[in-house]
Amino acid sequence: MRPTNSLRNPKISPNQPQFQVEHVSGEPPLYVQVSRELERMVLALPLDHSDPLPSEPKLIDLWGVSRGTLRHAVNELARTGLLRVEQGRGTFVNHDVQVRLIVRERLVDVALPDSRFHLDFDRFVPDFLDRETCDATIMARPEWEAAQTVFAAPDNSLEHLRAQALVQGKRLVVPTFGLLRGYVVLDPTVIPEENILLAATLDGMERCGTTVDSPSVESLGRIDLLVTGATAASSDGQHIGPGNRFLSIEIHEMEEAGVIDASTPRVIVVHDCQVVEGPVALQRPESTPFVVITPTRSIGQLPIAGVGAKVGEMMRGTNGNS
Amino acid sequence: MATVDRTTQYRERIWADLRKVGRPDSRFHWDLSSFIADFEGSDICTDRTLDLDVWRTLGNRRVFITPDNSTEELRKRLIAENVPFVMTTYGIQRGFVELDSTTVPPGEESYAATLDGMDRYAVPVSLGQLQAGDPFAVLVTGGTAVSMSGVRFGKGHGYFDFEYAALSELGLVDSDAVLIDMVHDCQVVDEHLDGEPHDVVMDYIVTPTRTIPVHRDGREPGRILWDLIPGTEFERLEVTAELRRLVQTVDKAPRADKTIDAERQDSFRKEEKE
Repeated sequence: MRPTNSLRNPKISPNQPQFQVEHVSGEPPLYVQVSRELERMVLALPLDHSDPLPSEPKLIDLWGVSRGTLRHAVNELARTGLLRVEQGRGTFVNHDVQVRLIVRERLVDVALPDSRFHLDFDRFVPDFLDRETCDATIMARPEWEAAQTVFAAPDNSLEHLRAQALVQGKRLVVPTFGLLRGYVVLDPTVIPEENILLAATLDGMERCGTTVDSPSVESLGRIDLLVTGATAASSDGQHIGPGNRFLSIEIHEMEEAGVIDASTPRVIVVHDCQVVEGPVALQRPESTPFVVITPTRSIGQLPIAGVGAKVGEMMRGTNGNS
Repeated sequence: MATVDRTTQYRERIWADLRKVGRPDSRFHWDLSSFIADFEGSDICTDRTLDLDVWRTLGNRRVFITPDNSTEELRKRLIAENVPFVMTTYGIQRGFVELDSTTVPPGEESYAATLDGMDRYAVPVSLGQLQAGDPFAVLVTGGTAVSMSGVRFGKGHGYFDFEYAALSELGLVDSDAVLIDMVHDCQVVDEHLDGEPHDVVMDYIVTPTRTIPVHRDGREPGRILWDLIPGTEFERLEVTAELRRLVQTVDKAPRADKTIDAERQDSFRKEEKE
């Protein structure tokens, strides 16, 4: 049952809970039911909702449960990372997790399993149905045409694009999964044709290229285009979710080393169901937004070289085909 | 128990050695408890494996290969030779698959041999479909460690033991089937360890430097120890449920008044009610 009032303005009368959550034997424990209900409400909140959740007394009245049950439910969601309890300030939503949960449900219908992680989407960035259309879109863009060196995240959704980069004679920089063994540099001029597809896989790329450690990132030279997949993406050009948790580190390292800068074109490849409407209040947003490319649309504008600071303005309010 | 301590010691030593001669996994890095590592010389090990006679007398009988990094080169060679094989997905999470090697275009063999590439070409196969097909002539696995008596050990998950037992229960592995363990020399323990009753005893241990035939008098048919399943990762696998349906309730000989499938449906419904 849903409460008749939103979480933002619960008009509560102490003696009239808006709906009753009762425990019926055989069903999950009460706190679990409450946590599911609370989760459903939280996921429906705006992605930049910065206010705390209503206070304990209000939520207790909302569902007609005890303080202990409510706390248990809140702790459950804090444990999963969706909520964070700040002593003296209130309980807040972690929007990164909020987006991840919203998108994860949708992914099941379109995402392809990983060889090892199967459908555990928290652990990897999946390939997805109709991803070939995204590849075609990217490869038709002038930034791709002009790029001599492409950075591509080690995402399953980019495997085909990585192979195409090599086929087209582009140098490829791919961080190892989890950045555990540095960056792999793939030189198309030395990889035999029968190893191109192998070199595009996570399993094969280290055998086909050379490795550069984080301290030597500078030696990567200039990167002309940055392509990543993601667990989710916002329409204002942010990558979101555990699947790309290392991308921010990689971007930071490369920016520090001068390998990329704010004018480097950057693109996220996702399915439409992985896009959420921005703005999203993320923990660590990127200062330079990405263009988001799905099978049906391209969202955002790429920066014009040398106009770094104005990119933000250009991105805001741009929400159509490029 | 002395044996347990010994195997733990061996495993620790072997893992330390593997960090020098092995190769990290693309995703699991050096977490050797999560994968079976490829190693230096695995290509020569593959040569040795393919030198064994069994490959020339396959006939219609099938090949099973585990999804280990150390068996990738073997998979590549078989694909190049158009030899089909059956494999499991990693952790048997998505069951068994079969690869019709002729579906791999020339030039894509090395790609199709990787776990990443395999998903593009291999086709899921149910236990029921396997049961209706030809028996297995050869089963190849990698491993953590193996004794000279052909007993594999180490902190494995027991996937190959399960695969062998499952295929045996389906009547697909007889005593003529050849079991091959491909390992680096550092993984061979020069001792005759007694295994557990459910341990699979290999026929050949093949390393980059030697091919070791294991002498054994016959082999116990593989059996799933159903009592040991609960509480393990095997409990929730779809293959386990399917295997249960197939072997616990159905005669292999078809009855005159029912098809096998109808019989299985009835048994399955009975089981669901329990």
